Amino acid sequence: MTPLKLFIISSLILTVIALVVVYGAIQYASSVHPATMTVVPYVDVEGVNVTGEGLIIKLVVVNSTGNLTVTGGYAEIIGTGQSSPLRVVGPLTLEGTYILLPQYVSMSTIGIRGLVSGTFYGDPMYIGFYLVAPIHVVINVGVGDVTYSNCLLNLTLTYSTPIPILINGAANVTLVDDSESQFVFFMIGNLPLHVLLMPGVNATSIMINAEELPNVHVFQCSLVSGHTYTLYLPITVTYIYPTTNVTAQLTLYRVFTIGG
Amino acid sequence: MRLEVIIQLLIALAFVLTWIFMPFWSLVSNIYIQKLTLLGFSITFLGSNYFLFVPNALAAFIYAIVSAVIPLVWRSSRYSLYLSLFTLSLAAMLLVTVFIFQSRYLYYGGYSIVPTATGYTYIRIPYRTYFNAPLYLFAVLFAVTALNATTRARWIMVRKLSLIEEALTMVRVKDPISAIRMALGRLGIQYSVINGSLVIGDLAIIMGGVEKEKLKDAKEYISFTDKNSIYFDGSSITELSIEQGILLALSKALIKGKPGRIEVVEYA
Repeated sequence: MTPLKLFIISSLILTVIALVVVYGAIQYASSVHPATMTVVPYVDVEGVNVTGEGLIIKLVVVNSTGNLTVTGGYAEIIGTGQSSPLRVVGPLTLEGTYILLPQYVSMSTIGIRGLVSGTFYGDPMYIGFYLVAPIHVVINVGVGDVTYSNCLLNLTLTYSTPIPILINGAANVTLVDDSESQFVFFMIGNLPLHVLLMPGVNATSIMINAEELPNVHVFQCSLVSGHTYTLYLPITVTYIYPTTNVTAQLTLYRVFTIGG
Repeated sequence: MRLEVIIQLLIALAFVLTWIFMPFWSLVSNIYIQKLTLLGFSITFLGSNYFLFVPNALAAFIYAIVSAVIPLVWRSSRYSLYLSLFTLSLAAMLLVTVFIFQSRYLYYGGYSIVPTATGYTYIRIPYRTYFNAPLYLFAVLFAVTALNATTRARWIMVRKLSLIEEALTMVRVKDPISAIRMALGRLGIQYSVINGSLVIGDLAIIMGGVEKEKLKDAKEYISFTDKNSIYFDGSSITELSIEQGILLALSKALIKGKPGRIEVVEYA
């Protein structure tokens, strides 16, 4: 075999091997592999509350790796057309507030869709999300200012509620002078009230004439300055949901000091 | 083995060793790293690793080794050097296909859209790409291999002394008989030593004065003294210098003696 022949035959063999390798690489070297979802930051819901102020969703960015800061975003409530920008309330926490719609109190879950923007290692990132979360209806009723003079009890109820609440009555209302360990008055039995609290954040005043209460024992008709008093106000309320009414007992109380 | 081929082999060895220990090419961003190792792409995304075997890279690596080994095992013809260059060209083409593969299947534009548990994430982080030492060594290897192929591995001008030069140099430190014996040995010419004289057929090479009784069989002789040499062809005497005497002795020896094997010329 001459050197030229050996050269040509070897070249051909090497070329064929190279071609087979290139073909095989494209045919069989798969670059598709499972995504590593656990290491990528994602958005999760921390809570959805229906309150008198509206629908408040709280979102948290779950981040197991990397150097992430959250700068904002928006979220949309599916099926209502409501969309709102998200406020950054913590390092990785965001909050969105939506105007109260009647259907929120009757929904058990809502769908939230949106985008959170932030920076990842100093460069922009966007996290898209679609979440389904249960709704919690949050109702707050409390006693605000209390005054008592001439046997007349004036109290302010502050409340925040997404649904109308009917106060049916109070039972066993008691005002105690904690400083002297004695009753100012106490009442046994029910006192019909019929006060309607409308959805939203508001306050309402209730006036009770202690002397006119049924089954009442009045010991004092005014309060002493500097003494601390406790008012117990167990009430019966009816939550008026769009589909059903729920009646429940609610015990309100307030500790207050006159003057000083 | 020629020095030029040894240089080619050493550069190939350096290329192979550096590629074993460092990537040929890297793409680096804060969250995503691609490295071209000799077995394929090593990919790191947000701390999780994946290795993609790419046969082209391994084939390029093996072809580079084969290219350097060919001139070692096949030395008789210049086609060995041509084949070496051709094989290295195939290695270069295989490396090019690796980068075509990268841009086709592993393209990274500085952003990632990744599915998450609740949606997707879009991250845009700039990246840098750079070549490492193996590429530069490969370029040097290619240049040396091409030079070897075009010059038949004869581009280093420093060469070893020829036989005649070696013999003439040796005369300066030793006697002419030793120099001629060395040259005859290298040429593979049979000779006999009688009383310190060299006898090749009917030629005698002697040191000092001619003693007739010692050279009964010799028809011709060359006699060396400290300053010159004398050639006697049977009838007349010619006076020569020592160097001329050595040249004459060697040329006569080539005719009268039987030269052994002919020295092989590499990459003829």
